[in-house]
Amino acid sequence: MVKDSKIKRKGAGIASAAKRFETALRQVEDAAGTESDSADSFLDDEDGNDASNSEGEESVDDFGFIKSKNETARDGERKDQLVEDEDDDVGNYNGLNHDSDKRDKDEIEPESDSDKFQVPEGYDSDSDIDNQDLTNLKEALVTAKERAITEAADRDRKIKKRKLYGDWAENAPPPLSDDDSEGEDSAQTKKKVTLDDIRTHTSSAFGTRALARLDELEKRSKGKSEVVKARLGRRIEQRVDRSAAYEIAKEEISKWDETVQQNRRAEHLEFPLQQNRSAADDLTMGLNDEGELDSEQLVHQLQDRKVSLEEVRARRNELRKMREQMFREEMKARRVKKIKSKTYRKIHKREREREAQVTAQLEGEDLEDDEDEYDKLVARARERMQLKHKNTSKWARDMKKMNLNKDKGNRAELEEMLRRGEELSQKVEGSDNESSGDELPSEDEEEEEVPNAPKQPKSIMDMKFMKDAEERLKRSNREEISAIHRMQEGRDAEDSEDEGDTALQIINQGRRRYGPGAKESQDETKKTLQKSNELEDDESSNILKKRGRNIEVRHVFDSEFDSVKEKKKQSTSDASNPWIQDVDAGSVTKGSSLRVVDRDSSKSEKTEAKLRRAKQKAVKAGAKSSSADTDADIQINVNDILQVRGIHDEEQNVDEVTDAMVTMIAKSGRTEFQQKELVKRAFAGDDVVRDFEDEKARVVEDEGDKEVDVTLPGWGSWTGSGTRKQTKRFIEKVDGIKTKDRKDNKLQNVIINEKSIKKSAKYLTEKVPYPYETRAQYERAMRMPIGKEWATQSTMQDLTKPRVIVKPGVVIDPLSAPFT
Amino acid sequence: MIIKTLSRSSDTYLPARSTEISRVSRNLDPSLHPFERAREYTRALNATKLESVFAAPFVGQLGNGHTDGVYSLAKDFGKINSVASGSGDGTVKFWDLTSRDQHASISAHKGIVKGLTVTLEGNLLSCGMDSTVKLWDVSAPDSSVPLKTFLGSSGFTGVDHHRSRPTFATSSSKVEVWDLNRSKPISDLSWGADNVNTVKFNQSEQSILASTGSDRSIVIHDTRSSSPVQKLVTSMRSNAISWNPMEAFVFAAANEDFNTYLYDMRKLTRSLNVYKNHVAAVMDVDFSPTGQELVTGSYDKTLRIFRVRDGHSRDVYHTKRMQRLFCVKFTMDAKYILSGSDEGNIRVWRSEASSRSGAQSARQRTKLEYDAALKERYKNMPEIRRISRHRHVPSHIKTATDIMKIEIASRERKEENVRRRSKKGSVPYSKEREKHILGVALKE
Repeated sequence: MVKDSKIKRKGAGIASAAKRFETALRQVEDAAGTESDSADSFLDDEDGNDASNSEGEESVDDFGFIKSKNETARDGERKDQLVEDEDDDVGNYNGLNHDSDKRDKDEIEPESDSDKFQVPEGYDSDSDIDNQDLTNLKEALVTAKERAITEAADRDRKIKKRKLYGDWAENAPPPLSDDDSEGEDSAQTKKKVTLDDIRTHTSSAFGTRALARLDELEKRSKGKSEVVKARLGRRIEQRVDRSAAYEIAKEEISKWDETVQQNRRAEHLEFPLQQNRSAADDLTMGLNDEGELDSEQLVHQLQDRKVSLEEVRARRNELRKMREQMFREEMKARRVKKIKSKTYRKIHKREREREAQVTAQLEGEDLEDDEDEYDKLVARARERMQLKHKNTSKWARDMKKMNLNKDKGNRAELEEMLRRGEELSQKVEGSDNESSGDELPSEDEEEEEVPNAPKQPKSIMDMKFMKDAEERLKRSNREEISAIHRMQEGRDAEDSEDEGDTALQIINQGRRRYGPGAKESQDETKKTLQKSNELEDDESSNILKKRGRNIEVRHVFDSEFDSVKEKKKQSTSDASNPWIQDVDAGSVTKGSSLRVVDRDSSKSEKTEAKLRRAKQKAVKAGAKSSSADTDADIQINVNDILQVRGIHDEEQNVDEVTDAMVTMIAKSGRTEFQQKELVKRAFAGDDVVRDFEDEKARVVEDEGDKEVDVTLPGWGSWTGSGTRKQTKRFIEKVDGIKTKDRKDNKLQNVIINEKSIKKSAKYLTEKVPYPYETRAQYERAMRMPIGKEWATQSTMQDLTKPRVIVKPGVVIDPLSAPFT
Repeated sequence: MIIKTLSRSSDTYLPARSTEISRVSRNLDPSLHPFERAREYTRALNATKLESVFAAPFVGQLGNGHTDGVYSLAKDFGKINSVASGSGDGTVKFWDLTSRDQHASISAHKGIVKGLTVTLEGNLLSCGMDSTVKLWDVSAPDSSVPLKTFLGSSGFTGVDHHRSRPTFATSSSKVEVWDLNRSKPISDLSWGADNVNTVKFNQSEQSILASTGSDRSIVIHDTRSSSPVQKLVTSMRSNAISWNPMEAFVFAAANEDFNTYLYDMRKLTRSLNVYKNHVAAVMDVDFSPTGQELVTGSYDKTLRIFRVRDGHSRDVYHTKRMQRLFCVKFTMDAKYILSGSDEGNIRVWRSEASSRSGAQSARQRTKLEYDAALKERYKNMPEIRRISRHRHVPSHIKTATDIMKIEIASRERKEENVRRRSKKGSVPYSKEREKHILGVALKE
C-alpha cells in the first residue's frame, strides 16, 4: 500500500524464499479461514496483516543471511546508516496497513530505498519490508497488530474482534509503546500476537509445517539479546580484533617471564641449557654409575615431588646397610660351619648357653631361680667372712689354747684380724644399706622417717641430749642470720628514706663497702650503674636542657655511716692513683646522692643543699679525720666549652684548673692538688685553636703560588781577574692555588687539601661504578683477593668461575617451554 | 759417632706416578703474601694488555665467495657447521664451515637473492626479486632443479622458516605464511606497509613473527590468530630483526638511524636498550644463541658485537677489503660470526677475539679464568678501562665518529639553548630509549 513505487528488487533469492514462505502462510491462512467463518471479514483484514508481518519476518531473516554473505561488498558507511535506520524501522512497521495514519505516512514517506527491501511486483505484498532481524520484526509485528486493532474504526468489527481475541488477549504481555495506548479501547486491544496465538488458530498439516519453521526462527532468536548491534566499520573491527589478539599474545608470551628472569638472575649459565628432559631421564638423572646421588637437578626434581632429598638418602642408606649386614652374616655362618675342632664347639656351646640365659633374663624369664642363687651366694660369702675373721678360726683357737695371745705380736695380729672382721661385716651391712638406699629419699625425709627406720647401732650423736644441743645451736644460728638480714634491710630502708625525697636522685647505690665482700657489692653496683647510665644520660641531658646553661651538679659522698678507718683506707688507695679519684669524682653516677642546684632552683632546694653541706661538715668535724678529702664537695660545672664561669657558691674557693670543659673545685688536700697538677700537665700548652690556624696558614702557603730559585749553584761565580760578580738569579714562578680560590677559604675550621697526586690518580675510579651504590660497597667488593696466594683452591675456583659457560662444538638450542 | 740428620721421605713431595701432577704446597699465611690488591691490579692490567695482544678476530673466508655481493645468509639451526649464502647475481651457495669449502652452488634466481632459510629437513628455501620462493635439496648430487617453487605476486624480500613446523613466512608487498606442502599461502598477515623488508619467526614462542616495513614500521604477527597484533612506527626504517633465543619476548631491530634497538614485544612504547657506535645504517642484526650478545653489520663496513646489557659495542671488526655489510650471523655454538658483504666474501670471525679453540690444559684454563675474573673486577680502573676499550678503527670510521660527536653535541647544545630561553617545562627532555619511537598502533 505504502511506497509501492519506491520498492525495488534486491535479490531473486530473497524473493523466492519469501514467495515460498508466502505460499505456506497462505495455507495457514486458508486453514484459519475454514476454522472460523464468522470472523471472515475481520480475518481478511487480519490476513493481510499477518501475511505482511510474516513476510517481513521471512524477508528479514533471509536478508540477514544475505547480509552476511554480501558483507564484504558493503561498505562501512552503509552499515553506519543501518544503525541510524534502526529506530525508523519500527516506525515503518507502525505504518503498516494504515493509510489513514497520517503521522506514520509522513514518517515513512521521506525515507527511501536502499535499505528498504523489495518484493517483486507481481508478488502480492503491499506492506513495507524492512531489513531488521527477527526480534525487531516481532516487536513491529505486535505493535502493528495493536495499531490495527486500535485503529479499526468500525464498531461492528470491533465486536467481532473481541469475540475472536477474547481467548488470547487475557494472557498477552503488556504493550511496548505508550503511544499506542491512547485509544479508549479495552485492555484486550493492547495485547501482542505471539506464535502461540497463531498456533492456536492453525490446525492443519500445512499450518503446522509452517509453524515449525516459525518455531525454529523463534528458537534462533531466543538466545540473542533483544537488539543486535550493527557491525562496526571494518577498520574498527580489525583494530578490536588485533588488540584482543595482542592481549592474548602478550599473555601467552608472558609465560616465559619466570624462566627468563631466572636465567637473568642466574649466577652461572651453562649452555646448552638443561631443559625439558623426559620422564625416563628424570628417573635416571640423579644417579651416576655407582648409583650415587650427586646431581643438583635431582634436588629440583625431588622438590617438585615433595620428597626431601634427606629422606630419600636416608632410606637408601638404610636399605644398603641391611643388605650389607645380611651378606656378612651369611658369610660368617658359612665360615663357622666349616670348623671341625671339638674344643671350639664345646666352648661355643657354653657361650651359646650363656647367651641364651642372658637373653632369657632379659626377657624376664627365670627370675625366681636367679634370686635363689643370689641369696645362696650372699649367705656363703657372709659365712666365709665370719669364719675367717672371728676367734673361731683354727689359728685363733690355737693361739688361745696355747696362751700365745698374750704375746704382743700375736695379740696385735689377733686384734688386727678382729678389726678386719668387723670392718668387713660393717662393709657388708653398709653394702646392704646401699642396696636398699637406691630409693633413699632426700635428707629431710630421712629425718622424718627416723622413728620408722629399722634399729641401728646407736652412736653418741643419736643420743637425745646431743640432738637437743644440736637443735639449739641451729636455732640460734638461724636467729643470727635473720637478725643480720634484718639489720641490712633496715639500713637500706633508712638510706632510701634519707635520699628518697630528692627529685634528681638517680641511683641508690648505698654506702661504700670495704673489706671482704665489698668487692662483690661494688660489682653489683657497677652493673646497676651500667644499666642506669643509659637512662641517666637521657634524663640528665633533658634536665640540663631544661635548666639552662649554668648548672652545678653537686656530688656528695654521704659518709655518715662510714667509719674513719674505712675512709682512711679508701683515701690512701685513691691517693695512690689520683686519676681514679678524678674519674670517680667526675662520674656523676657514683655519688650516693646527687642534686642539681642552680640559679633557677627553688629557695627550699637551695637551703636544703646548704643544710646538707653543713651537716656533712659537722660529721666530718666529729670524725676528726686527718684526710677528709674524700668527702670534699666536688662541683662540676657543666658549662660551654672553652668558657669558664664563676660558681655561685660563696663558701667555695673557685679554682680554675684549665680552660677545659670541666672545672674542678677542690677545697683542700693533697689529692686535689695532685689531680690539678696532673690535669694541668696533661693539657699544658694545648692551644688547639691557634695550632689549627697556624697549620692552615702553612697549608695555604704550601699550596699557593711559589717562587722557586732555580739558579745553579756555582754557575757564573767565576774567579780571577776581570770577572764580574754574578748577581742574576733565576727565579721561577710556580702557580699554585690562590687563597681566594681555595675551597676552604670561607670555612674557618676546615682544611681541604687541594693537592692532587697524579701518581695515585691511576688507581682511583672517577666515580662509584654502576652496580655499586656507595663507595663503601665498592671497596668492600674489591677488598678480598681472589688469587691462589690468598684463597684456597676451591674458593678460587668459585670466585673465578665464568658466568656464561658454553660447551664447545654443541648447538645451543633456544629456550624451550618448561610450562608446556 | 752417630749423627742424626733431618730427613724426609720423597713420598711427601714427589708424585707417586709419573703421570701425576706434583702437588704444589702453598702457605696461605697472609704475611707471606703482602700487597694483594696491588699485585692483583697489576695482573689484571697485564691480562688486559695480553688480551689485545692476542686479539685475532679474523679466521678466514669461505671458499672464494661469490662473484657478486652477498645479501643473505642462513644457518642450519640443527648444525654448527653448515651455512648458506645468497648473492646479488641469483646464486645460492651452501658451505661447510669446518673445511670452509662450498658444498653446493645453485643458480637459483634471476636477480638478487634477498632471503634464505634452512628447513627442518636441512633443505634450503631461497627467495628472490623474481617473485619466486624455491626449495632446494642441497644434498642431492644434481641440485640445479628446485624441489618446489612457490609463486608470489611480487618480488620477495625475505623468508624465514618456522622452528618446528613445515611452514614458512615470506615478506614481499605483504606478509604471508606458507605451508611447504601447498602452493598458495595459507594466510596473509600484512598490515599497512607497501613493502615489507624482512620477516622473522620467534625461536621460542614459535607462532609469533615480526616484520619490518618500508613505512618505518615494525609489526608483530601471530599465526594463531592469523593476524597482525601490534605495530610500532619509528622515526627511521628498520632493516632487520632478530629475536632473542633465550628471552622469548625480546627482539632487536637494526635501524637506519645508525642504532640498534632492543624491544620487549609486550611494551613497544619504549625500547629496552639502544646499541650505538655505528656510523652508518645498521643493515643486519643477529643474536648469539646464548642470548647474551648480539652482532650487527653496518653500511659503515664494520661489524660490532654488543653485550645485551651494554649500550656500546664490546668489539668492532673490520678488514681493509671488507665492504658494506649486508648480513651477519652467529654460528649455532656462539663461537663464530659470519659476515656477508658487498664485495662478495663471506668471512668467519671469532666472537671472542683473543680466544682460541682447541684443547686447553687445566692450568691454562685456570689462568684464563683467573684473568677474566681479574679483568672483570678491575674493569673500572682508569688505565685498564682505557686499554680494554681501545680499538683501532679505519680512518673513515674515526672521522665519521668525530663528526658525529660534534653533530650530537651541537644538537644538544641547541636544544639546551631552546630550553633555556623558553618557558620552564615546555621543552621536555626526551629519553634516549623513546625518542625514536613515533607511536604504536594499539595503545597499551
